[in-house]
Amino acid sequence: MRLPGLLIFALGLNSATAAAPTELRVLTYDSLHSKGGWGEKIFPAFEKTCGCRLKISTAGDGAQILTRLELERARGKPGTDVVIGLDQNLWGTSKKYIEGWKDWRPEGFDKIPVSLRIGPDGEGFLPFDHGVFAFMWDSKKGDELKLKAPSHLADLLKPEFRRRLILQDPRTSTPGLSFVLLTRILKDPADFRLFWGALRGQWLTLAQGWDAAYGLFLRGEAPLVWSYTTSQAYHREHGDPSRYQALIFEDGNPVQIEGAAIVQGSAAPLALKRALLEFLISPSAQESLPKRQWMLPARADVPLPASFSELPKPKKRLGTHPVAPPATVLKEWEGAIRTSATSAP
Amino acid sequence: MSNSRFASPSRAEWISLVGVVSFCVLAFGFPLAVLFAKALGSPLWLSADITGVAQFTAYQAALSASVSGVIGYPLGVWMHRRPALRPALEIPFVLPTIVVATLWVSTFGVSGWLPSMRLIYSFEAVIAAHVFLNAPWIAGLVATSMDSIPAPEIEAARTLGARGGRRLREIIWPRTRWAFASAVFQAYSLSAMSFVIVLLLGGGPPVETLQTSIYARVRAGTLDLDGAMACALWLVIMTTVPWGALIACSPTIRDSAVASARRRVPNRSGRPALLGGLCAVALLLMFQSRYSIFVSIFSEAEFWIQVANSLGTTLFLAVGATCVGFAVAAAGVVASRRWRSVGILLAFPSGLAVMVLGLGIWLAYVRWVDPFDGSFIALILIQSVNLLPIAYRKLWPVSLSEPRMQLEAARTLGATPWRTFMEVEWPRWRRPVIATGMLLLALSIGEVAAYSLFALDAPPPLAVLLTQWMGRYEFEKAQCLGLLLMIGCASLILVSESVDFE
Repeated sequence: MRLPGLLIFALGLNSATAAAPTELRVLTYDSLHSKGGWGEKIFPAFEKTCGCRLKISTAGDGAQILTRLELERARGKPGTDVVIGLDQNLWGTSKKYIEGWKDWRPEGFDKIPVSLRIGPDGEGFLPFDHGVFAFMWDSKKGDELKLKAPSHLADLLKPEFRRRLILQDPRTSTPGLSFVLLTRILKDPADFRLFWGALRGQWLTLAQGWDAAYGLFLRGEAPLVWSYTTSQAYHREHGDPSRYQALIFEDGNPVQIEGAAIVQGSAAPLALKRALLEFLISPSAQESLPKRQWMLPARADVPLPASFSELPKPKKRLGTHPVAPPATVLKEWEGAIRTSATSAP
Repeated sequence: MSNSRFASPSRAEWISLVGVVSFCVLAFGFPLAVLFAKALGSPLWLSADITGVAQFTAYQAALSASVSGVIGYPLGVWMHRRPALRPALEIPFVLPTIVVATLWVSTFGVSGWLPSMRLIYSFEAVIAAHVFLNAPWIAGLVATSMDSIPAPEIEAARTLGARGGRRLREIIWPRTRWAFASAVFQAYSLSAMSFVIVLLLGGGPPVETLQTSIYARVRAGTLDLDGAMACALWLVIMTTVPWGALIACSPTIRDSAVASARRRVPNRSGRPALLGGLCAVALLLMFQSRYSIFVSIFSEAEFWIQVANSLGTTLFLAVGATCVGFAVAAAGVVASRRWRSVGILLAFPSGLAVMVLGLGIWLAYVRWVDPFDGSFIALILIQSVNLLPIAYRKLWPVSLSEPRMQLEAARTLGATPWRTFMEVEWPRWRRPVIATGMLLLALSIGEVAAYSLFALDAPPPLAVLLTQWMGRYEFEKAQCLGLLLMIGCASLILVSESVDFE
């Protein structure tokens, strides 16, 4: 850390000189750009190929990226050229800030399975990775408690799972939102309310984010936590052969598809913005993705590490297209939680 | 500097007044006005959703403060006669809230030492944790206020046959009631503004307060600014109205606080040992049986490189906030000797939650300051406003002990104002200034909530680095960093306290 540099930032004097290379402003979420993250690998590599300079800004997660786009629109000052990290649930709300591709398609786009493409191709959403949400099961803890791993959503309501699962608050966590959307996909509004009213006594806690939830799970607070199947790959890579297992439900598992897009009205040259999108799905960038992002690459032709190849496949892939706007589902969810809270003994 | 309240204000007093008022207007006056105007312009603040959360917040804060008061008052009276044990009441200052929450889970969690389903992830857990934090704080203030009661007075009452209950009713209670009331109101405000405890120990909705509701509305993908503003409005009302009622009695409270600050000379010799012991217990709880993993992480060069990078940002922000907070508080001390209401103005931010203040600044200056462009200004501003009441409270009593005769003598002998300051004023200010600086530094290092609304274009501060590691499965590294943070903050507070009372 160089304090003079920080001082310059603090005073807002970091203006580029005329001779400086073209700057491309990228907005992504924290973990992608953190030490050891995917960004650490791909952003310098892209700068070498494009001869430009990337100015990376971060927001907490994909949802906060959308918040920033909304704010920039309100200020009338686009401060971002390319966003990396929106997912399919945010896409419906965010596409009004995004520039469509028209007839252009990124090189390598044809290697991305159709099942990962969100909306019409020309809308501007470029998938770069995906993951499958699942409950992670601590088999050691389960054996101690003499529990059998659940295989259906309905199993979670069984008395033996009372206060045995950890979920995330859907209002502050993308995985938490995916679980609520999953239940909404599988149930009509009335059943949805009943399910959540009954589930309220089953969860140990609704953590504010995935990290807090997974931290409690690893402490042994509960044998089940809502996470990604790739969590299993992480444990395999770090010397655990079988204790932590991703559970595949008969009802299906929701997927998360993360994408990048060009922001409407941004100032950087279009060719540069397109070059960055193409770089994200280039074979070299995609190959480095799994062990840095702990997600599956979007391209189907990229070799996977052994720990990823062994991951269980979902019986049904759900949630690629939201059944209702997330904001509407969240309102229904809040209603269900409040009703059950007031009617609880 | 004027010797009389009736003389015309000096230039220094005018400059201080203008500086303090300008800062307060810019840093929280205007942002709050914008927030209020926008929130009141929408009917949302009267909606059942928001008022329901507001009622719940008020209920939990009132319950937490009441239970804390019921436990804290007798504890304070008892502790007054046991000065060696009094350092134990410093727990709320030594342990950052995030560490308390983590220790709580380690102790009362399902996998903890004392697993209890009622004291974790529930409403009861939130109340119990607030009582754990606030009761010692109330007891400490009560014990300190009892220092102002002359020992012969109590002894005389005892000799004349007054029993414990009567001594309490007729001698102790009248001298301690305002300090007690002040402490209970502060406990109420702190519980209403509590964020990490509710988030980690509440178990999620329906255990939800206005602070967590603001967080959810601003963090979630569908930015609900109207809802967040409505929550912020209720939170400000909830924390400042009782505070305002208390301020109505401020001469009594201030005089008793100043008197006790002057008189307290308790035996503090046990403080370092006891605080060290507390840290050791926390260390044991955090390490548990994972000693070898922690040792291997501490021996990784990469760990220390990242910590060093983030330490730069952390220190830059903490030092910036400390300097700004300190400078404004110092100006406030000068101005409030002439205009008492300046003191009230500087105490006002103690009723302001970080999320409310951040939201206000966000709304007020969004056209000029991009919250995401890596500017440190907003973060330093928010942190310095929060430090302001503490800095003022620490410095104000010192200003009352002005050595007038020495100052007069220096002037008569022809000393320049600078030399007069260095020779007469600085020796009495030096220790409180260093102690206050250390305390402010420690408090700002532990700050996390401000980063929920503003981004940085630099290595993240240590607290944010910790959450990033947790987000990337690096829990052991995060715990090691948490440990370092706790030791760092505790050391600064230890130094602050030992300098203060030397």
